[in-house]
Amino acid sequence: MTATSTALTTPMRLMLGLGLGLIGLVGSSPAALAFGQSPLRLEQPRGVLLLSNPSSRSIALSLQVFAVVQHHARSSAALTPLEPEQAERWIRLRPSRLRLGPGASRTIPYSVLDPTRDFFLCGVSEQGLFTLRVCSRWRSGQPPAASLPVDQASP
Amino acid sequence: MGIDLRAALTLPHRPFLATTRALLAAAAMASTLPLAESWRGAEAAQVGASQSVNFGQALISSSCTLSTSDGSIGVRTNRSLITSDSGETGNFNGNLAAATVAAVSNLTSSGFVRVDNPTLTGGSTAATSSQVRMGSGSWDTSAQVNLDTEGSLPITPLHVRFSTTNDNNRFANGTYSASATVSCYDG
Repeated sequence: MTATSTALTTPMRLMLGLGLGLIGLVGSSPAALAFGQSPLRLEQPRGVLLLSNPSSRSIALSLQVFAVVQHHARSSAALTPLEPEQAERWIRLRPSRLRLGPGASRTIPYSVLDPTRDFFLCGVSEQGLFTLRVCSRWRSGQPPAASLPVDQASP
Repeated sequence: MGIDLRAALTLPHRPFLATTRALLAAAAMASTLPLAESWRGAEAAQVGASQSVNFGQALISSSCTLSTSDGSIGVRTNRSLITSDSGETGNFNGNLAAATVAAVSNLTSSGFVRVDNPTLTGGSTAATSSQVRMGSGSWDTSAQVNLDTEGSLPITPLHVRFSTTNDNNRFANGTYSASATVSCYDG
């Protein structure tokens, strides 16, 4: 048991945790389109995002960077993403566009390049009449990926 | 070696569940033992070395999953309003039906779902007023709902409505469709 748990990589554990959380949602509305993302706070300048598609249809996703705006005293993402050239100076993502099959998940490595910027990194999926966004926040003042010793940086 | 709280809390369900089961089992055993036997147990000497057990790691990572289903819109017979809400006054052509939005997360009540940018496309008459309404909320240019204490937003109806001051306040012939942006955040 212990060996099995410790052998799980962080992305695998993320997928397991997120997958458990999705069961209720998909079960309650099987016809719905859906899209999930984790984590919603980028605590480390390097890490991985987990994107998941708990729905029964294939979905196209893109990862886009948005400025932070205030609505009703809460921070949210601007409606229009940053230009790709600007976004690539703030955060590196590979890939930034992907397709997820029904029930599929995928981890995407990221590296924050300019930690002085506040921004949202949102997974964006056009689904039916909706644009769905699940947004992860990077807050300025956190150390850049390049300044951390290798053993302190997440994969 | 310090304790990494995040690591120590990773995958909480299994270890917590196992611990809870173990405690319940111990409590059940203790409650069924006669008093004298319980007393003798307390006096028993330990034989052999103690052995610790590990429960591995657990990782808590914030997540949110949005789920939507499309609605449909209709137009008031005098063409002054396009909406999905059958509760609006007047007679309508078309099938008016709410879209739905739901969310599942582990954010507790810090998370929220926001609907922005209700947009009417198609046709030749542009809307000059675009509004959205979630659940029992009021009409506005955007809508925002906090997740509940479980971090969820139950399936919630979502409506849009559009009006115009162009073309004598009436939507001209054409095919119109409506869309919106739904976002989930950790507040």
